[in-house]
Amino acid sequence: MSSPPPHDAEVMLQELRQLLLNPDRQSQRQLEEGLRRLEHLVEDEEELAGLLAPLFEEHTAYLKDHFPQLFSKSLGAAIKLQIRESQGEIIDALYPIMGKLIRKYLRAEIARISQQIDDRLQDPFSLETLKLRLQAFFTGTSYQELLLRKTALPVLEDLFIIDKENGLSLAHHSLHKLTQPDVVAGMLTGIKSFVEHAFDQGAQELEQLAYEEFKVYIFSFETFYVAAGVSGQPDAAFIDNLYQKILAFLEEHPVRVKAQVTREDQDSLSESLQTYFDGSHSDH
Amino acid sequence: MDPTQIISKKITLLGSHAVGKTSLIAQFVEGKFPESYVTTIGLKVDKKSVIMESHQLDLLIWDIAGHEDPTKFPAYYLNGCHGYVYVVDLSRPETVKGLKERLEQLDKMLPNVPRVVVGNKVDLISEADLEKLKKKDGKPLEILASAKTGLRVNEVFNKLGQKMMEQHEST
Repeated sequence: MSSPPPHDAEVMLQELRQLLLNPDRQSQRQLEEGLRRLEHLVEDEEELAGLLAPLFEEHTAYLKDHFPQLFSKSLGAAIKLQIRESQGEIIDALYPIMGKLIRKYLRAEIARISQQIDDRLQDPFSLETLKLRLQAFFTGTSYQELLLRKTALPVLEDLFIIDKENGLSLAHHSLHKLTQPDVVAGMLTGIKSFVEHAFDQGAQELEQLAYEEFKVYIFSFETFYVAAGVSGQPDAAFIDNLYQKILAFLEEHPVRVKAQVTREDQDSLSESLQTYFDGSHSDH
Repeated sequence: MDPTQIISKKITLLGSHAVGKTSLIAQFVEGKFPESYVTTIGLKVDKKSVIMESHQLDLLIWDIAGHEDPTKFPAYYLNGCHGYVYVVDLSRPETVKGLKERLEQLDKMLPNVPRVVVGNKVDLISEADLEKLKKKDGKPLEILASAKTGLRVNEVFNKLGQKMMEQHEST
C-alpha cells in the first residue's frame, strides 16, 4: 500500500482538524456572543432596568402580600429586643402622650365639678345654699371649700333589707328606679354566700362589694342584713353615720323575719325606709 | 286567705348537668328557648309571678350549676328554699337512673320542702319510649315537659306553687 502524496496529507489533516475542532469553536463563538450581550446589558442601564423591573415588581408584590407570614416572627422578636434595650427611651416617648391624656381627664373632671358648683351658685337663696353659708359662718371654713366638699360627697343610692337565709327582699328604697329589686336582693345574697363559703373565714361575713365609684356596704344582723349602695367617695365617718342611722331605723321599725314574706309587709317597711332616709343624702 | 295577697317564694331548680334547668326557666320567664347551650356558672336569679286561686306568688327562681350527686349542690344556695324542681333529661337514661335514691337524698337535705320532679326534653323521645316511661312503676316523674316546645312548662311551676301553698295552709 502506498502513502498519499504530502500535499494530500496536508489537506486531509486540515479536514480532520476542522472536523474535530469545529463544535468547540462554535460553542466558543456562542459564549463570546453571550458575554458581549451581557457586557452590553450591564453597560446599558436602561435596558437592564427594563429587564429587571418586572421581576422586582413581582417580588415586591409577593413580599407585600406575605409580609405577616414572612416577617412577623422576626419583627416581633426585633421589637421585643428593641423595647427591652430601650425602655427608658420608650417611657420618655410615652410620657408626653400619657401626660396629655391625664391632663385631658383632669380638665373634664374639673369642668364637671365647676358645673356642679355653678349649678349650686345659680340659686343663692336655696335652702341648701343658706345651710352651707350658715355652716361656713359657724365653723370658720370658707363657703367655697364647703361647696367643693359638697360636690364630692357620697350619696346613698339604694338601701335593702334582705332575709339572710333565703335572700328575699324585706324592704328596699332606691333613689333611682330599680327594675327588679327582688332579683337584686337574691343575687346579692347568692354572691355574699358564695364569697363567705369560698374563702371559708369562719363566722366572718362579707362587708363590702366595690366597683370604682359605687360600693355596697353590708351590715349583718341575726336573721337579715342591710345592703347600702353608695356612690362617690365615702369616708369612715360617713359609713359610721350611715350605720348609726340604720340602727336607729331598726330600733324604730323592728324587722321580724316571718315564714311568709308578703308584698304588704314589704311595701309597709319600704315606705318607712323611704320616709326615714329620703331627702337627707348628706346626713347619712 | 286574702285573695289579693302577694307572697314571695324562693325556689331552686336542681338536677344533673345539661338536663335543661336553665332552658325551663327561660321558657317559663321569657317564653323563649335558648338555642345554644351555655353551662350555668355560679348562680342566676330570675323572677316570675304565678296567679293561684286566692293569691299571687312571686317566684324568685334560683338557677344553679347542675350536679349528678345531690350532696354536691352548695348548701348555701339551698338555704331557706321554699320549694324546688328536680329535672331529669328523658333523652339521657343516665340522668333518670337512680332517681329514687337521689330524691331520698334530697329529702334528707331539704326536709318537708315541696318539690316537683320533671322529665324534660320529652320532644326528643319516641312514642314507644314515652309509653314505657308512663307504665313503669316506681318512677317518681310527675310532669313530662319540653323546655324547647314549651309543653307543660307553666304546669311545672304552677304545680310547685300549689304544693307550696298547700303546705303553708296545712301548717
